[in-house]
Amino acid sequence: MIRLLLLAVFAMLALAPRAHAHSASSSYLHIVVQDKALDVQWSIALRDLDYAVGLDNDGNGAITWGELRQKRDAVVAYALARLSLSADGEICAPGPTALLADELGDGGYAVLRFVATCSHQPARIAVRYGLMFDLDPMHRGLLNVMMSGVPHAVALSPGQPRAVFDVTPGYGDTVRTFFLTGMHHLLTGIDHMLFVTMLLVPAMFHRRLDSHGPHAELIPVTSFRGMFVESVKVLSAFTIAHGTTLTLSVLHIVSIPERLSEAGIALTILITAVDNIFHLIPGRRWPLAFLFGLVHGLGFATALGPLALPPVALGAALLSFNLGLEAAQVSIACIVLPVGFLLRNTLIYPQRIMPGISTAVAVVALAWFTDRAFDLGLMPF
Amino acid sequence: MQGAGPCRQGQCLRPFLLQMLLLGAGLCAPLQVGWGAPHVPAGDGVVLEQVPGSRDTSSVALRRLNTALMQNRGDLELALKVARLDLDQSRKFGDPRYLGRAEAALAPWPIDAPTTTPDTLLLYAVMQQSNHDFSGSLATLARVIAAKPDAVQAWLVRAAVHQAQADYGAASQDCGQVASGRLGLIPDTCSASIMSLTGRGPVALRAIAISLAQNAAEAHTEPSVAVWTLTLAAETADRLGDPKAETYYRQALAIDSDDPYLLGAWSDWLLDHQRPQDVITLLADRTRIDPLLLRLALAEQETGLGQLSRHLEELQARFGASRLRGETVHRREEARYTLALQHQPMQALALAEANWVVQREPADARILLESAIAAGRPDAAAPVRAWLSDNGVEDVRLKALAGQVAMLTGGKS
Repeated sequence: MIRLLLLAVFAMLALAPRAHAHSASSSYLHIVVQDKALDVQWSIALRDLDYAVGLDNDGNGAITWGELRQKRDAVVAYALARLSLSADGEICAPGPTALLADELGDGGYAVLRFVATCSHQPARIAVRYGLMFDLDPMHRGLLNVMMSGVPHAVALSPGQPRAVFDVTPGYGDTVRTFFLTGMHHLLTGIDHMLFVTMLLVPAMFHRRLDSHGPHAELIPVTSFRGMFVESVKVLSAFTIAHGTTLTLSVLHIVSIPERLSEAGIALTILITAVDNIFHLIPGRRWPLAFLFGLVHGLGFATALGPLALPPVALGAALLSFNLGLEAAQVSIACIVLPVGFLLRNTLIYPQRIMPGISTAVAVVALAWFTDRAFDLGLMPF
Repeated sequence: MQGAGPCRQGQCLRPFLLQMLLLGAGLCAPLQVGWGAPHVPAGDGVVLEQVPGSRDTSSVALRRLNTALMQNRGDLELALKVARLDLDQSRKFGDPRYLGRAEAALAPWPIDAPTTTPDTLLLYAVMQQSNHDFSGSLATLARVIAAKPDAVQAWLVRAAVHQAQADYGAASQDCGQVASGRLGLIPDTCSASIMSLTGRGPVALRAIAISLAQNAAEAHTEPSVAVWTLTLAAETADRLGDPKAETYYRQALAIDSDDPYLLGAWSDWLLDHQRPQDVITLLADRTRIDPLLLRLALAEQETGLGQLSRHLEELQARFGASRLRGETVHRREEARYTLALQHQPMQALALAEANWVVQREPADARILLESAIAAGRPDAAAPVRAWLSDNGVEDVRLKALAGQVAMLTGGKS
């Protein structure tokens, strides 16, 4: 309340006591390092550009695309004069600049895109930034430099207008980051986790041939090792399949709307869970895991998004992402399999626990499927 | 998982990577913002942004003064005029850009130079206050007051800072100094604002009513002061559980229906009174102001209407950008967002505790109590309970929450 006090008081004197209501002024500077080239995308708030170079020509308060386009040269000259990119002390010269527009929620932005070319492959990149600092010392340049698929973020300010990045030799960062991303994605993606669990829950039984339905005859396995090897086959089939579609998607060879792949994932969970109750799908589990893995891969691709990486780094990234997923799957197996194995000779596991868990998962999966297929947006997760 | 998550094509990886790299510091958001969808608009007529145009007289005046200032960077009088106008615009539009511009106008007279005049320092103190640098602001104000003991505005800013820090004794003295310098709505509201927090809510309400009646002319010529006074009356009544709060809010809104603080307080009242639908109507097209976007998202969560997932993504992005900028002014809002929209009580509690160290207003107390309860950490609410009892704060909602905390701690106090 004291804020209000200040602000109102200074109405006469013009005081502004209240803390930031809007977001403060920031520009978003994204640089992707690819060999000798720096791919730059720079989003600058139109409010700031209007203040610095004047965009609202007719003074009606509305900045149009036409007005921005007319001032294109002034905008580009103003901005580029306040940014310098260098590789090991040598300036990387900006090429032709494309002007675009964007809406970022807190306002309209002008987007400058250009490629700065360095004379050699840099070992160290320096960014010096000075946009708006003379007009608004609270302005910040939010810089994100992508090297081998790994982002490095820093805020540039009047006190720290320069940032230096060592271009990492090798792919250590890439491998580590994407491995962790893969693990993180599987362990926080409850749908994938449920699917893997559904695949593994019946692993400690063989189904007697020609025995179907809810009363199918389930024979407990005798050796842990045999069960483990069989489960590894199932999980590997799953991994190979989702690795395939993931790669095809990232390379833009296959493209499926997110809604379909998400609904498809829900469907795979539903079918697998129902099969755990009614035992209808004949044969072994790994072909099923492979088929459904193809669907899950499309979902993983959505999480990765388009990767602007050179081929070797892309390969390293995809491989480590898949290994990360696999590691997470194996850790789920390490929990589900021993518990199931210990309980396999009890009646409660095949008759109560397994159908119970599967029914619960089936219900959730059905809800997901409906939610995603019809884009209802009702499910909280 | 990507199912119902806020990730659009191409926007998920970077957040995840950064969370990994920076221990989930949430830096994903600015990157998400930065990776919007740049495009070539459909035609020259497409409106990309609204700025105050030539119809906003203070903007026109500001532009004229700025041009003059560019010609003569050493003109202090001119620079002060520009800075004051900038600060006023910052309040009016809720846009902190103007704070930075005011600072730029005063740049030739740095805050730490001994020759900088008290008038200039006062404006710096206001900026520091706005950036939640309360101790810096008090130090600057001490210099202003040493040079000009009768500077009413300086005492007023001091009262504001002391109130934000919950130093009500000092704030009350500051208001006394304001009153000795001038009479009217401002000193009355200053004092009432302290009374309202220190167990004298009904007295504060009566004092406000009397002052409004006596100073009708001032209320008329200074609408923003009247809005402040009426908002205080509404908040005070609400703390007492008095339904007249709504009347005061409506009176204030009749004077200025765009004041960002008033809209935030009114939305909170509506949310507390199970009227989220009204909040959606009120705020649907005010999504640029962060605290209002937060309230809109809360209302959307409650009703299931509107564009909740888009707004959550947007809030996430803004808090992320703010964190990357190294700002802390959004902690109260971020704590509320984390608790009520992200449902992460532990993280919300950490934010609310960090926020309470800096500012201690009823809204800060509330989010700390709520987070402590949700996180099952009633002990963390001890500073708020001390604040309540030390100052005799009367607030129906805070007392109920403190009661819940007491139950959780097993009646120990």
